[in-house]
Amino acid sequence: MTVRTSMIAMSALLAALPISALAQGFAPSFGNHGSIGIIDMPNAAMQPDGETSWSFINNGTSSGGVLNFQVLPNIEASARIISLDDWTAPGGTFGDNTLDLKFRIVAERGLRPAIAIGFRDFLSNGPTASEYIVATKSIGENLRVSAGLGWGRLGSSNPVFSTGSRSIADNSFGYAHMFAGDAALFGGVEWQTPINNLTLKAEYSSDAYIGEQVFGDFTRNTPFNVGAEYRFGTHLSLAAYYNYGSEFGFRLSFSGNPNQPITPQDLGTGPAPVNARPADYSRDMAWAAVPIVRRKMLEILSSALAQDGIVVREGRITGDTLELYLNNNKYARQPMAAGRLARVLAGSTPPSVEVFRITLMSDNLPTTTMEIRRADLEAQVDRPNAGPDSFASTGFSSAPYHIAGEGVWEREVEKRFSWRINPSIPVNLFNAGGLGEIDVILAGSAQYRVTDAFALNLAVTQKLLGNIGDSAGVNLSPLPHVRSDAARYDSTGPVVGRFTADFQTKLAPSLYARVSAGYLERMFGGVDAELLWKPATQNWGLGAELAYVKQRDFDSLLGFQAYEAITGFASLYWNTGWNGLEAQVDVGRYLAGDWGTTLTLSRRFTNGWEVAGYMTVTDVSFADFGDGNFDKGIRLRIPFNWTLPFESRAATTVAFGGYGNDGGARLNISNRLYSTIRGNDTTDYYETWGAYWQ
Amino acid sequence: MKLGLGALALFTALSACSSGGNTNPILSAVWQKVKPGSRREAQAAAAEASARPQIVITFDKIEDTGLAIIRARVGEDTRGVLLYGRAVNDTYVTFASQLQQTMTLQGSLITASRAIGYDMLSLRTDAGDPMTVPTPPDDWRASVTRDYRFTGDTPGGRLISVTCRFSKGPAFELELLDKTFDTTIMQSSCSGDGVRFTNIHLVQKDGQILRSAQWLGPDQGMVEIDILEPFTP
Repeated sequence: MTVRTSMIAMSALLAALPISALAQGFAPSFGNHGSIGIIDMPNAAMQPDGETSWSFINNGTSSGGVLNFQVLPNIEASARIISLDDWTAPGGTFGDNTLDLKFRIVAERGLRPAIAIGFRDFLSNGPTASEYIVATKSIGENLRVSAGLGWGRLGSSNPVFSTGSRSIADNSFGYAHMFAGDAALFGGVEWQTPINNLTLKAEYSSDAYIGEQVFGDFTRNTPFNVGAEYRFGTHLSLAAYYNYGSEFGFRLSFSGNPNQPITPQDLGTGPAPVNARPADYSRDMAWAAVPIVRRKMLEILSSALAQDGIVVREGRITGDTLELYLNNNKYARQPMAAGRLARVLAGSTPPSVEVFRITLMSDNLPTTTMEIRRADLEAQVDRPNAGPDSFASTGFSSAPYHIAGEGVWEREVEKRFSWRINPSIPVNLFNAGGLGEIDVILAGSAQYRVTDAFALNLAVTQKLLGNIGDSAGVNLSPLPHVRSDAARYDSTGPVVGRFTADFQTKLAPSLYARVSAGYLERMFGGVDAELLWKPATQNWGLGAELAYVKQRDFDSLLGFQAYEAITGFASLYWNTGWNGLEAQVDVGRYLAGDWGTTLTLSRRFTNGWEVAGYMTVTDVSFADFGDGNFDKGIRLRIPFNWTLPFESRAATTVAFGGYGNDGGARLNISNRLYSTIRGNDTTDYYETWGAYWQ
Repeated sequence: MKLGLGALALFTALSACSSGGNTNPILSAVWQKVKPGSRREAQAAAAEASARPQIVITFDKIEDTGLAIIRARVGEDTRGVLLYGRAVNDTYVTFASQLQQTMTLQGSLITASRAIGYDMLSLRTDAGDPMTVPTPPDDWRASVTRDYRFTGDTPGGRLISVTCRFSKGPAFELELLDKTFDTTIMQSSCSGDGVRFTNIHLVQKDGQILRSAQWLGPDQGMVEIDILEPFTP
């Protein structure tokens, strides 16, 4: 094993270990790359677990946006979308999107500094690619010093030794360049001033800025940089720098942490108190022999629960058992809905009813049945160990599509016709200039639900203003233009984004099925069918999807072009149950006919925050693929619950990437089965079961 | 430019309307604050509330209800909220306000709270904890261990275990509603798992606790309760 490969492997291994972080002197701050660091140089500091930030940066030679995420206590990731000025020619900008990773392998403790290994533009030998080892030590409560050794760009000024040769930055994919070539020393100091929230910084940089000086008027007069950062509260910081004796830079960062909601939780209403049945409660079940009594009981229960955001779709009650299929439209965590419902049932059903079978549904698909014994509930409520005891005593199983047996009460199809209008602002940050294109559009959607399983869906948009597509040049992609003509679709007229007939059902308690036909998405129409096998008590599942599609006309109305494709995937879904990490692997044929695989890793917090990153590699060569070599992107989901003092299941999603390249392109299907039902297996319930008694 | 566009994008993403009448909850909350006339309405409501004759609560009135009642004060609230005994499970009594905020008490020890801020899922204490059974001040044991549970990533939630040491303070004359009581200040100093806090209790000679300030977690902090009518089986 070479030095380089062993360092990469060691950093990944050590970072995965649960090394606890000790309190540092003062809060870590961002550098001008939007990652935790000094100014231009990195340090070994880490943010609190889960901290997520968005930074706008402008450094004189580059500008852009950075999404930074503390993946785990010892792993930091940053997705940067930047524009490098005067890079390809005088006045010519170069758009780059990179992934930066930093692994802390040793936490600061006593006299020992924190040590981290990091990668800028991970797995890509691009213009900013560099690797480093850095140590950071707090001295007292207000001073932090760092020193490190860098390769790549960070080894380009006054190198002290060399580890072989390093190929020129050609954007090639791989790891051969890592920790190769010249290595140079860097270091810096951060000082928390007596003025609250003001930090001053100074550093010695090992970046020679060679590329920027070839075509641009940038001059590196000195290796020293200075800067100041001011924090406005905990969610906003502003920094200014004077770099290399010639350029000013600034950064503005917004931060949030899923583990620290910005409002107090649970200012709504508490759960219903539960009184245990008396020891001599009536075990009489004669009432259950009268059908109208059973039906009325379910209707009244359904009506009462609807006021609390729980919509019962099916129900069945016998003398000793109550079964309910329901949609939870209110509570962010499913166990909270189940727990509150169980409390209500314990206070409102005849005492002879001993078993509650509660099945939670997602988009009308029954997922998991929880079997709760009333006696257990009564024995656990208000007691200290109620959480673990109730999880252990609750039975979990995959739900069939309908409640079995006679006397099932079914609700009429709710809201046969529904609609929604909202403005939307699609942003294309991946155009050649890297400066971003943006539209303002009005989006409307409507649904007509024929049955619980079958619905017609329509989505139409109207562009109000914007510039997406204005800078579209000649498309030289050697692949079928399945996505690279995206700009040509952004016409000014009304656009039918989706017009489909969708049917979804369960073929068996653990087997889900969906068929969608029509105008599936903005660029393709056809038929898409999907199967998903996902037992409720299992933390992994398998899926298969097959579609025949034709490319739609550029006006995105009803016509088609000549290009047609068969695309399909086999998928593995794995909820690791560790720190909310989930993995998804899709293998198959993409829209352009290329074969390959997509790996998606996500971290989902119990309150619904989710940060997901994906990468797709196919048999398309990196040269044919174009900018970025392979498809990659990041998706961030923020639940409104995080900012609200009451329960809500609404959320907003921000996605970057997956725009404009023909290789590795998939159909944009909004109702894929796994995304519909996820969050409902026992692994998810285990992580969120604390809410069962809330 | 990008900053402005980002703000615009966020605003528009949040603003939506639908056939269900469901507007974005954040926008709805903001709209309720800024809509024309909202300040006038709020001022009128405040004036009406202040003009309303204040209900004077007395112990006689409380006894007439026949209910176990506590009064809780959180944060800067000085008036407090009345909570009524609604459920009894073993030695645990759950009190609820009219807005269904709940607290569960074992004796005088708060063992759970809901919807008053940051929930405390549960609290376990040693058998014989003087907070759970009336104990004259001179008979309070030296210490107990307690396990607090808060929401976390497992069914058991986040556990904070502390050891609480009791100490007797001076006598204190407590004015509560329309009566005055002779009490003794008892202090419990608790620490463990990175937290440290002090609970204060005003205890009568027979061990009944009338007022107490108790820690409900690192996020919630202290809550003060008056036990106006204790639960009696």
